[in-house]
Amino acid sequence: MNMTDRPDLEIETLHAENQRLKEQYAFMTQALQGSDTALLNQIEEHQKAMEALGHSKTHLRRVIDLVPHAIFAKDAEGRYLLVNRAMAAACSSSVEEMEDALDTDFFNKAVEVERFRAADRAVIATGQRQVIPIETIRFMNGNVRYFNIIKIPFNFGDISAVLGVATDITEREQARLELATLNDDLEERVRQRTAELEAANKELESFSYSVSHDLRSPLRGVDGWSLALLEDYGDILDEQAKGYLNQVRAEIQRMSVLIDDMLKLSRLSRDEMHREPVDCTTLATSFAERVQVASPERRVQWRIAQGVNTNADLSLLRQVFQNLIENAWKFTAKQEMAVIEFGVVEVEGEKAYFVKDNGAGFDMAYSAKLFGAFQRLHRVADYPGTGVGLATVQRIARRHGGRVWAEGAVGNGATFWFTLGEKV
Amino acid sequence: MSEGTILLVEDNPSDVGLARRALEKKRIMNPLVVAQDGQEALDYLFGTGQYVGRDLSELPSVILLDINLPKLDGLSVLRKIREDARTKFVPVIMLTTSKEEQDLVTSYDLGANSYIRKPVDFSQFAEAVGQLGLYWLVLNQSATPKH
Repeated sequence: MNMTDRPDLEIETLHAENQRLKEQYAFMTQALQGSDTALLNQIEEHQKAMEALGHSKTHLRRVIDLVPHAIFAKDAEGRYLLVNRAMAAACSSSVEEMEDALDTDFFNKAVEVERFRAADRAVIATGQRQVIPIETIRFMNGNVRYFNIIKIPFNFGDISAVLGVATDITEREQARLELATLNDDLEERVRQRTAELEAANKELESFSYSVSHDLRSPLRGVDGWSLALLEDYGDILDEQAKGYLNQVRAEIQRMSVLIDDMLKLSRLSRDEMHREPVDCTTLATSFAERVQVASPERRVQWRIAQGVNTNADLSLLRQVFQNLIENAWKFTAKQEMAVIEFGVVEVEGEKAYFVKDNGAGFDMAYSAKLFGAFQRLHRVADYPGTGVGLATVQRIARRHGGRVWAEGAVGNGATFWFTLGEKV
Repeated sequence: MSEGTILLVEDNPSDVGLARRALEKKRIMNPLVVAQDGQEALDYLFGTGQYVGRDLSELPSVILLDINLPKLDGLSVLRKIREDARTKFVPVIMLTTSKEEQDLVTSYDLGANSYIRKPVDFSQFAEAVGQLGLYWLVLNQSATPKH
């Protein structure tokens, strides 16, 4: 088209063009304004985000500073990238001073830092966390404290680092060490006491031995020479003199029995003991038969419980039955019809064995004396004995973890109980 | 030797007296040599100490040896007697005060021939001597010992 040919057309076109440009401009402006606003919004948002980030950083900061455990991040060269207040306080420093500083500024290089860094390097190299149950740390000011430390691999930005959390366990550790010392002390004291007791026991044994030798020896002499007097000069001594000498010998015999009983009693606590199944019924029956055979004229009704079994030291339990059966036999001697009973019942959750008789009995007021060695409640003339039988029973029961007791009334019989440490 | 010496090793004079009486009473006239402790017994047997120069061919026919002795105890003396070829076969009767079982077991282990409970009386002595076949001693015959 040729404009010179159609000037009106040309102008019209220009107008249109102008109009189009105007519209375009307006549109562009509007678009720009829009994007400006968007940009502004974006900037605002960003600012808000930055602010929020700042807030959350402060929050996080506050959180780690409030944690009572020491927290730190450290790179492989020992530079602190982050420490919390607890960490700074432990090092007698401040957060500002510590961050970007080296561990060697706060710990003894040769003693502590080499050890720390070895662990740090291992955590970084392997990517595996490490738990150090007890780390003893000597601070620059001379303080020594114990820590439980966890070291975790941690990327601080693009720096490979270690995040450490150290819990001060000094009090706990000190308590533990104190306890260990106390325990050692206690063990030492137990050892000492045991040694003392063993020594005392040895002394007792040698005492028993010397009793058997030294005490017996002069007694033997007195007896031997009394006998010599009777044998060699019997023909010139009158009956009264011989009677006196026989009294002397009888007394010696009694003392001899006492010494023997004392030795037997001391052996009860000394000899080794081992439990095995024991048939109590058979034991009681055998001693009943034995005493009955010795005095067949006596009328005794035996009531021995059948099938009574236990776990005890046989030779010791035999002595228990011998003493209790013979005791019952002795103290029923004056009964027209004696009744002697053996049985077992449960007493306070324990198997309690008893030997019961309808004999002379005893006054309960003296029951505490019954089981004492050489204690007697009856005159020798009435009921002979040295008074070690029940003491023997008591020692044997105690060695089995049991106890003894007695019930009775004068003229109304007695019941002797023993347990052997068997729970029902 | 032909006299059949009895060596009594005993430190208690009362026990020595009672033993001497028991033997004399039964007319056992064998010479009785008393050693008052273990060392003296060994001196007599091996001709040392106060017994230097004793004719060692004269061995006692029987040794009555107390277990509980001053200086060297009876068990140690017994061990030395059995270790020496000269005295190895001399009969030894231990004298004990009680049934200290451990002592008796050890005595027999060490080669004791028998034991008597003190005080030494004739019946026990006769029994022990009889066990050992030493009737000649009890009967006081001047027989020659077999060894």
